[in-house]
Amino acid sequence: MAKKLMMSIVALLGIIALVLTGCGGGGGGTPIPYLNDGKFVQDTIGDLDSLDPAWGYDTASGEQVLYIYEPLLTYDGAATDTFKPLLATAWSYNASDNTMRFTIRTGVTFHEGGTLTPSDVEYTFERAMVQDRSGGPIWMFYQPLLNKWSNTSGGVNFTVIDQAVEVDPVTQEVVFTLYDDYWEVPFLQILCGPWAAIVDKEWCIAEGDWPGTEATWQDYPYFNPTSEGDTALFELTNGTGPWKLSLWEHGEQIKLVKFDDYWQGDVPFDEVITRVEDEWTNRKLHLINGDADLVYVPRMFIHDLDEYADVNAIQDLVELTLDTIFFNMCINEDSIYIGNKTLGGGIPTDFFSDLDVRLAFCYGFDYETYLADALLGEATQIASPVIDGLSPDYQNPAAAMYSYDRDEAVAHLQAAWGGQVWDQGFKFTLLYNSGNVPRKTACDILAEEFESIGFEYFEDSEKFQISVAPIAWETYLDKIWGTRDMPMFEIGWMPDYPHPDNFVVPYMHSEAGAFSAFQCYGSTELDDKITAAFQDTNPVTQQEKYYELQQIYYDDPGGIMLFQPQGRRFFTKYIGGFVFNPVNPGAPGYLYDMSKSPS
Amino acid sequence: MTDWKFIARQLVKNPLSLAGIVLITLFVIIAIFAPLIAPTPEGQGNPYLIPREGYGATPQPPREDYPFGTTQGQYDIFYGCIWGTRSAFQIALVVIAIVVLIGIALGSLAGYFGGILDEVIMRITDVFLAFPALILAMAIVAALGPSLRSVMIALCAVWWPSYARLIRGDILQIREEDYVEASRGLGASSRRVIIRHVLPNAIYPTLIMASLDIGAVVLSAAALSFLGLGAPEGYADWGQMTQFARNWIVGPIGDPFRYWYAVIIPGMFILFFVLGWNLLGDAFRDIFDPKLARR
Amino acid sequence: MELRSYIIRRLLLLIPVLFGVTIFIFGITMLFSPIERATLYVSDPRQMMDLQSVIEEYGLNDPFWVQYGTWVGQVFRGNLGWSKVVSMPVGEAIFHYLPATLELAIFATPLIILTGIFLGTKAAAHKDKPVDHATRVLAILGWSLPSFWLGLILIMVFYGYIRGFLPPGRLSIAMDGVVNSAEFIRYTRINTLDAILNLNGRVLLDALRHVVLPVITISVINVAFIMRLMRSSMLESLGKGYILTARAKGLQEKVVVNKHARRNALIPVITVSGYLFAALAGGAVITESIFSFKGIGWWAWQAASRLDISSVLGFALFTGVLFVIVNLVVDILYTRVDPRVRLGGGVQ
Repeated sequence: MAKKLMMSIVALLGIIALVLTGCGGGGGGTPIPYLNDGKFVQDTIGDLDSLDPAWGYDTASGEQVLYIYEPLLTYDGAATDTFKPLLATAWSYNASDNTMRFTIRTGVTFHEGGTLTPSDVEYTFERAMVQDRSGGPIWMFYQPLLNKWSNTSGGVNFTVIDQAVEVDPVTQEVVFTLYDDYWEVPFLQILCGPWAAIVDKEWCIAEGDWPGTEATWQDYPYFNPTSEGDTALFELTNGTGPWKLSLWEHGEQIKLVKFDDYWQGDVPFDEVITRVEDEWTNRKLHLINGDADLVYVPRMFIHDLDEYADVNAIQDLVELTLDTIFFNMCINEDSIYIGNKTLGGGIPTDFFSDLDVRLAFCYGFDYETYLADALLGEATQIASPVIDGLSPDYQNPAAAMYSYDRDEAVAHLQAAWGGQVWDQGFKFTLLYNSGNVPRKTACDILAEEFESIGFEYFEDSEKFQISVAPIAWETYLDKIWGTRDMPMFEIGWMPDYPHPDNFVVPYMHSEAGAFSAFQCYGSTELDDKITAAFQDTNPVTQQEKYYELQQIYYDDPGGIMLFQPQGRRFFTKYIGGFVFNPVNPGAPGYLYDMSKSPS
Repeated sequence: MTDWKFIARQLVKNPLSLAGIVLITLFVIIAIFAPLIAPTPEGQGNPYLIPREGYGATPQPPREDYPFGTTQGQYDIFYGCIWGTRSAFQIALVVIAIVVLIGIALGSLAGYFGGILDEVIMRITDVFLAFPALILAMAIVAALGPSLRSVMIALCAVWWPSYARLIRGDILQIREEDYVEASRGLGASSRRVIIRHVLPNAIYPTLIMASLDIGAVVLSAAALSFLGLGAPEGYADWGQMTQFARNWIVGPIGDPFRYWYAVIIPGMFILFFVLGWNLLGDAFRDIFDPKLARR
Repeated sequence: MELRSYIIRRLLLLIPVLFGVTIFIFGITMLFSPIERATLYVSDPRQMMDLQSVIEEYGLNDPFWVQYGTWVGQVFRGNLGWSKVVSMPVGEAIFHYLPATLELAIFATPLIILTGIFLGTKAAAHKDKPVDHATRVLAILGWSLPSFWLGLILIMVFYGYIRGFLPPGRLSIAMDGVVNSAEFIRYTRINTLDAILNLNGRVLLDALRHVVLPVITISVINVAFIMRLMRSSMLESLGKGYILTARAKGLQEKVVVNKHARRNALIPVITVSGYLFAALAGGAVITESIFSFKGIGWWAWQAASRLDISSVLGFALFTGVLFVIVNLVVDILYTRVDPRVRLGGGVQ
C-alpha cells in the first residue's frame, strides 16, 4: 500500500516536471491567439451603477449607456471642441432669445421598434429634470437652462421645466431655452454626455416610467428616486445605439448584442462583453491568452506587458484628470486626526489657513520622486486647476509651478504662524483611501520629508510628525464632505464636460466648489471673478481672466498640485481603429468605429 | 495529575513534535532578538514600520543590505519578516490568552452551574458560531477601521465560543467524577472546587486546541490582511507581506518566478510558524488523549 | 424522545439564534454616526454633498430599536432590502450567488472526505512510522498554505503556463453564450448539473474545466481536518476489544483495519462532513475571489468590507438557518448511526 502511494506521488511529480519544462514558456515571442471572432471582450474592475441615462454619473454606467443609447451630438474624433451630429442633424443658436434649436434626424429606429421623433427628445430632457436624483448629473441641465441647481430649488415647478424644452410645432425642431449666452458652448458639451442620451417616450410610458404629465411629476419614483433599482430604466433598455442589452449579471458581466436595424448600419461587433475581473493576474492572463481584447492595467504593472509583441500598448494619452492633496483650513473641532489641537502635540483647526504653512508643504513635496516611482514617469506636473486639453484651452503655458526645494520649505516653515510652528513642531494624521498605492506613496513622501527636516535641524524626527493611515473609500469620501475632519486629503477630479470652469469651480469657488467649499478656501470676491470668467463671451478677455485665476491659485494654493497622468490602453494587436477622446467615459472609446480582425 | 516530565519526554521522543518545538524556539529567538537581527534605521520612531528604499512599485531581488529583497513599494522583506515574527506572536498570544480566559470564565459558569445560565450562554455561543468566522471578523474590522487592534478584537470575537463550549463540556464530564463529589461533600465552596479540581483537569484539551489555534489565528490575520482588512500597509506583519506579493505571483510568462522572493519568503515564515504549532498541538493530542492505544 | 417533537423543538431554536445574530450585526453598525452610515448609501463623490436627505430618507437618526424593528418588520413582509454591492434585492442576491458556492461545495466535500479518510486510515494503521509522519506533515502543509497563494500559483501553471487550459471564472465566453441562450434551461444555475440536465456535453466539459482548480484549492486547505479526525478516531477504534479478538482469530491486518476498525471510526467523520458541507456552503471567500467564481462567499465579503448592512444581515439570516438545520440533521444522523446516543439526551 505504502509503495503504491509512493509510486503515485513520484509519477505525479514527474508529470508536473514535464509540464513545467515542456509546454508554455517563450515570453516575448509568444503569440496571442485570435479568439472570439466577432466579439469584443474587455475586462474592467467595478460594475456599473445603472443603465438609466438620467441616473448614471460614473464612467462605467456612462460607457454602457453610450453603446446602447445615443445623444443628439458627439465629439468629433479626438477633439473636445468640435462636434459631429448624431441624433440631431443640425443645430443653431439664436442670441436674441437664447434659444438653441436642433433638427432631429429621421429614419432612426429604437431597439424595440419605435421611431425617433422630436417628442422623444423633449420627453428625455423633461423626464431627466423631473427625476434629478440626489447627487446625480442632471444639475447639468438645470444650470444652463434655468440657472438652478435641482428640482427642489426655489422657483422650480413643472411649468418652467416644461418650457425649458419644447418642440416647435411648425419646424419640428427641438428648442432649448438657455439662461444666457455664455452657456452656448458648454451646453453643447453637456449634450454629448450619456445623461443626454435619448429615450423612446411611448415605450418608456408603456413600461411604467413617468407618464409625462404635470399631475404625476412629483410622484415617486419618477421624482427624486433614492435607489437605483427604483427607476424604470435601471435594467430595462431601449435605445437607438448600435448595440442592445442582452444580459447584465451584476458584479460579473454585461453583454450587449448587435442591433441589426441600427441607422448607421455596419455594426462591427456581434457582441460586446464587459467582464468584471478584480484580480490583476487573471486580467493579464486573459489578455495574453486571447480571452480578452482589452483589459484595465493599473499603472504599476504597465511594464509587465512590454515583452509581448502582440499587445498593442497605446500610451501618452492626455487624460483629463488631476490629483491634488488639499489643505483643510477649517478642520472639524472633533477631529481625532489633529492631536491635542495645538502646535507641538497636534495642530490647531485653522493650521493651514496660514500661507507660509501651505507654501512650506508645496515646496516640501518631492515631485520628481513621486513622478518617477508612483507614476512611472507618465504624467505632467500641473500648476493650477486649469489642466491640459480642456476646451477652450486657457491653460497658461508659462504658469509658475512649485518644485521641490527643501531650503524654501524650511524658510516658510520658520516663518509660519510667526515662528511658532518652527519652535513647537506639529503632529497630525494624513489619511488615504486604502489600496490606492500612488496616493499612499504621495502621503509617505510628504511624511518622510518633514520627518527628515525635523531630524536634520533638531535631531528629532518626530518634531514635524505626519502619521499616514488608510481608511476605506466610502469612509474617506464621508470625511471630506460629511464630517470634514481630515487635515489634508488627496483626491482626484474628473470633469463632466471639458470646460475650464468645470475645474475651476470645484477648486476655487467658496460656495459651490466640491472641494473648496469644504476646505474653506476662497471668498465672495474670488467667486465673482470665477463667474465673470465663465460668463465672458470674448475669447481674448476670457483668457485673461482664466490666466488671472491660475495665478491666484499659485499665489494662494489650496492644495499641493500633483500631476495630470498620461493614460494608456492595452489592446491585442487584432483590434484596430482606436481614437482617444479624453471625455469619452469608456476605455475603448468609440467602439462603433473600431474593428477586430485576425490579420 | 499528569507528570510533566513524562509529557516532556514524550514530546522529545516523537520526531514530529521535536521538529515543532525546534521551529517554535527558533521563532521565539527571532522575535526576542529582532532589534539585533534587523535593526531599526536611525531616526525612525516606530520599529514596526518597515523601512523602504524608495517608492518604486516593482519588487527588487535580494542584494546587499536587502538580503531578502524588497517588495512592491520597496519595503525591506527581511526586516518585515523578522519584525513580523513579533507581530505574529503578539496577535496570536493576545488573542488566545483572551479567548481562553473568556472561555474559562463563561464555560465554567455554564458547565458547573447548569440550568438557565447554561442555556443562555450556550445560545449566545450558538449565535456567534452560526456566522461564518471570516465574514464576522471582516465586518468588525471594517466597522472599527483597519488596524492591528481591530484585527485582535475581531479574532477574539470569532474564537471565544469554541473555548467556552470546550471547557463547558469538559467540566460537565468532570463534575460527575468522584473526587469532585467528595470535595463537595467535605463542604468545599463551588469556586474552590472549580479552581482546585475541575479546571486543572479540563486544561488539557484546552491546551491542545490552543496550540493548534495559534497557527489558525495567524493564518486568519493573514487572510484579513489579504482582503485589505488587516494591519495598515507598511506595518511589519506577515499577512501584509504576502498581500504585497499578490500581484507578483505570476511574472512574465517567460520568467514566471522572477519575483519568487516576494512571494515565497513571507509565505515560508507563515508556513513554518503554523507548522511548528500544529506539530506541537498534534503531539499534545496524542499524549493527552487517554483513549489512544499506547504501545 | 419522539423524532417529530425533537425536530420542532430544535427548529424553534432558529428564532433566538436569528434574532441574536442580526441584533449583533445591527449593533456593529450602530458604532457609526448617522452621517457615516448615510455615506454607505451613496457611491459617487458628488452625491456626498446631500447627505442630510439621505439620513432622513433612511431614518438613520432614529434610535436603535426603531431601526431594528423597521428592518424586522420588512423581513416579515418578505423584503430583505437592497443589496448595494450587487444592485439587486438581497433575497435575489442570495439565490443568484448560492449556486456557484454549492457547485464548489458539491465537488469539494466528497473529495475532502475521501482523501481525508484514506490518509487518516493510513496514518493510523502505521502510527509513528514514516508514513504516518509524512501524511500528517503533508496535510498540515496544505492547511498552512495561504489559499490565495496556492490559487494564484495554480492559475499561473494551468492557465498561464499551459496556455488556456484551466481558466478562472465559471465558464468560457462561448459556453457562457450557450448557457444564457434560449435553448439552454438553467434549472439550478449550477453549471455542471444544468449541463447534465440539458444533456449538453460541451457545456459540461467547460464547466468542469473551470471547477477543477478552485475545488483543488479548497480541498488542499481542508483535508487536514478530516485526516486528523479520521486518524484519531481510527486509533481509538483500533484500541477496542473486538479488534484484539479479530487479530487473535488470525484475520489479516488489512481486513482488520479496513473492515472492522474503519467502520466504527467513520462515525464522527460522517457527522463532521455535515459541518464541512455547511461551512463550504457558507462560501470560501478568498478562493471565490481569486478564481472569479463569484458565489455567496464573495458576495458576503463585498458586503462586509463595504458595510452594506442589508446584505450582511441577509447573509446572517441565511447562515443562521443553515447552521441550525445542519446541526439538526447531523444530530439525527448521529443517533441513527451510533445506537448509544439518544435524541435530546443530556450528559451521559
